[in-house]
Amino acid sequence: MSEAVLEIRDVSLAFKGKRSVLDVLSNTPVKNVNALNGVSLDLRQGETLGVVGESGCGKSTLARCIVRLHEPNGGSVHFYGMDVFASHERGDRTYNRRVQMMFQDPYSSLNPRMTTGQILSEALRVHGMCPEDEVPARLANLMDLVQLPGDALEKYPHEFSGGQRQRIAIARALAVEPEVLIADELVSALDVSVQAQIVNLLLDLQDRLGLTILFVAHDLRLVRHMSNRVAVIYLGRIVEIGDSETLFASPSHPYSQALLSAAPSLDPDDKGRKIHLEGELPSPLDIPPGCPFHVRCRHKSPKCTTELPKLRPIAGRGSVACHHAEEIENV
Amino acid sequence: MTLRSVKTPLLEVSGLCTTFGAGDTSVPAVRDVGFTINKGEIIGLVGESGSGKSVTLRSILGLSRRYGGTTGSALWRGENLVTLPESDMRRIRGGEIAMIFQEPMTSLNPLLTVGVQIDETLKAHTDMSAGERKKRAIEMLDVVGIPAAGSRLSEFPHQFSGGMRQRVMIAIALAARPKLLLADEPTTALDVTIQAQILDLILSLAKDFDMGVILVTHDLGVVAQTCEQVAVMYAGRIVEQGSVRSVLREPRHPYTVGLMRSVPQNVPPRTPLYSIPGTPPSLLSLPDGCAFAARCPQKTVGCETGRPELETLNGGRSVACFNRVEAKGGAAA
Amino acid sequence: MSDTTISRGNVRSRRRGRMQIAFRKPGFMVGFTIIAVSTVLALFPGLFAPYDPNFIDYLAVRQPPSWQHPFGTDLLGRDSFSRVIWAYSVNMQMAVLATVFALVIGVFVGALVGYYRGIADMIFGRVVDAIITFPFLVLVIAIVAVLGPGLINMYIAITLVGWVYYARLMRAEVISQMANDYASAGIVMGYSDLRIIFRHLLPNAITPVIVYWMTDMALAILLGSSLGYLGLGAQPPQAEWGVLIAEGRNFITTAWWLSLMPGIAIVLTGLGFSLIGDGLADLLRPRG
Repeated sequence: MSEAVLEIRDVSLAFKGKRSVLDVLSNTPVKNVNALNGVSLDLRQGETLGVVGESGCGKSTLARCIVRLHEPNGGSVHFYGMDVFASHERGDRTYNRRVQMMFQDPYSSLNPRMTTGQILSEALRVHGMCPEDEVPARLANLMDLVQLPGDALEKYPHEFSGGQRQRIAIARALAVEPEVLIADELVSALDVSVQAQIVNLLLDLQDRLGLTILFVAHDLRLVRHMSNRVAVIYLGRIVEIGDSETLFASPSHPYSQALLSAAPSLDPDDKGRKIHLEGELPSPLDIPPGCPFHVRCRHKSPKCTTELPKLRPIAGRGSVACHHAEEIENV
Repeated sequence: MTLRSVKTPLLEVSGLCTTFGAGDTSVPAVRDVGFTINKGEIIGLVGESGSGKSVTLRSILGLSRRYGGTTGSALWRGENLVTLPESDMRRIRGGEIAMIFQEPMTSLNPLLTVGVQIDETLKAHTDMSAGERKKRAIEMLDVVGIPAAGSRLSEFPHQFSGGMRQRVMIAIALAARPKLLLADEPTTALDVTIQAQILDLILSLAKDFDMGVILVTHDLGVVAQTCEQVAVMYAGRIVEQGSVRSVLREPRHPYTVGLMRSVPQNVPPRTPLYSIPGTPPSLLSLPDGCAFAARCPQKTVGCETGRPELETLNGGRSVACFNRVEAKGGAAA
Repeated sequence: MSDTTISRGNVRSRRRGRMQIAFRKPGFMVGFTIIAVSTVLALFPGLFAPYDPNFIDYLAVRQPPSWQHPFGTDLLGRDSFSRVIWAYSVNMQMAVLATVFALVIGVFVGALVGYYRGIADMIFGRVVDAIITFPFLVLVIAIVAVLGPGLINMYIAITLVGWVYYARLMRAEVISQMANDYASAGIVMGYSDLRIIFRHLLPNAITPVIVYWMTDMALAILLGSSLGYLGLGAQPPQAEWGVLIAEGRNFITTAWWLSLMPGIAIVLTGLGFSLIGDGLADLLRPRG
């Protein structure tokens, strides 16, 4: 097993709820949005770890925590053994250089008033990636890497399509020669044919540059295609994590099963054995006690309503957080 | 589906063209689109952004009139919706033909309760009494699967979650028992588990009310699981049309083939995906020939000079391509 | 190297393209012409004014407009036209000096407070509340009363109150720009806070502030003339529109031109600034 680049331990994050005047008067306690409730995972050298879950499950918050856009309330993130939230490391910008993030919305992640060339050369210069006279050559090289024409350097973001903008964002991340890429819904806003182009680009770059990638997405087919391992997140907790093919072929947690079966197949006759989830994601303001999934689960027992299941390894599969993982039939 | 012996055409669209703007900057958003939808049938319009699928939907209801001109015909019970005066359209909109949108939050009025919004539609399109309307409103919320429907009538849109809001939208749209539902990416903003619920709901409502549905989406999976007929659009035109089974199993247009193969299903993981090179052409400067020619792997000399018309093959398939992909090739493998 | 020169040329031609679009708008054209003419008059009043503004001619007192004196003459026989033109240099100076310091201070404070939030933001909020609850004019008059009348003190007073409006606008705009991922991307790229604030956020956030600045220059002329009229700003015999109006107010029925002509000058320059502001709002908006 290769070395862990990032070790995430018990990370939890609650956003302070807004308190209206009425709440203060009636002495209602502040409700916090519990976005992450103790997430632990390792990101291993050279792998792609997929993170899936429904909107509001905390997968984007996790990504933003890793690059220090949010500070967790509890737990730790270690990068090659270095605590990235330790106070003396906060001013250290090399961590941000080595761990890069790419965002979902290609229309807001680029400064509209800077040309592609300015965006990229700024990244090179701030981190002193190469001597001044080599900057033009490096820029051309980056354009090559992300397969954009050279004249793209002189254009402003609004002159590009969504897919091309994501290529620029990727080039910006690669400019500082990172070791880890955090891709937060990188292709979700793109058309299907363009998605495939970006996925191929990412696979190719990973191969050539030996990158470690955390691939956050809600599109299960894409995650399956991209990832070596996959983590399924529900209400700010990992409910299942393991080898991508095993997990997709035979998910163990009832939530993973339902999530995977809900993705519509391209085959009109494969109506699938759909597992219908009742109800919707509970609000992260009010997470149910016990197993947070029990309110929608077909397999719940009295134990599930009181006791929180821990993530535990199951023979032949990954780790699953379910009291009844062994009894539940694989789908 | 083959069992249904008599198909009654509900809406017949032919030669539909919509152009935005005029002169140098006129945009041919929709060109020569035609299809027929029968009672109780669900037809899918698929395409990427800018392909004209949403504009087609809006043109049928006359919603694009303010921004551009529409020609062609959309025959609805003997009337051409394209030339129908605005006052008559208003009667049809929301009454006989209803529409739901992608963004449930912005298409509901945040200041009115859900009950009032359903009541409004009913008041405009039926002559029910206040009591009957209230009964129907509760019934509709019940039909779309909102628990405790009676007590939720007096709630505001923001008190519902995303999926529930989309259900409310559907309840409002279906309150007046329309014959045709136009659904513009109704599940795109929703999570997969909720998407499955909403699609099932639309399916069962179409069956129960014998209602036709035109479903606009970019997700081929949604089409595969929901529709009977499908039309694939590219740069404002339909490039391939037919039954979902035949089109998705044996796509004959190179664009459809590319689209199908771009989706990572039944592909070995972490291998390069098939991808259509390049990006869709700008509608401002469409080529003279086939709009897909620049990205097409099967392109021949004729593709850049002449534009292929939509040709009907046997089995109800039509394809607009000079070099059709041979049957039993491509994505089904 | 040739690459970068081409790129600069391109950028410049694109900017020029936008300027052309702006000039095709009649409103912006008119505004630009008014302000251009006003600026020339302000810089070189001597070239355009036929007489010395303070030359007293007891033989031509309170004359109605004529070819010799297009705007007539005042109580002391000074040429009203020349005085209105000389006043351009004072009043245009007001437009700039009464606002530019407020602009700079406001943009800095607003950008910093909007980016960092926290305690600084709370303190800023209280300061804003405290200042804007007073009517602007009353507060300025109070400060002038403490400092003493005169142009310099008037600029200080207006700046002390006016920066709050710029800062408030800038803060709100920076906060809304922060919602864009390019700001987060800057943090993730490991850029310094100052670079993110001034290189990335500020250029995107400043448009409404610049537009407001144009309006504010019009308001500054109005405010400056009001104070001049009240005897708290420019002091007679200096030619300033407010002062001129004040001088003519006792003769409004007999020598109406004395107050009317500087009044028209105020309205015209105010209109010019507002029209430019509208045009700039379109010009500065980024595309995409």
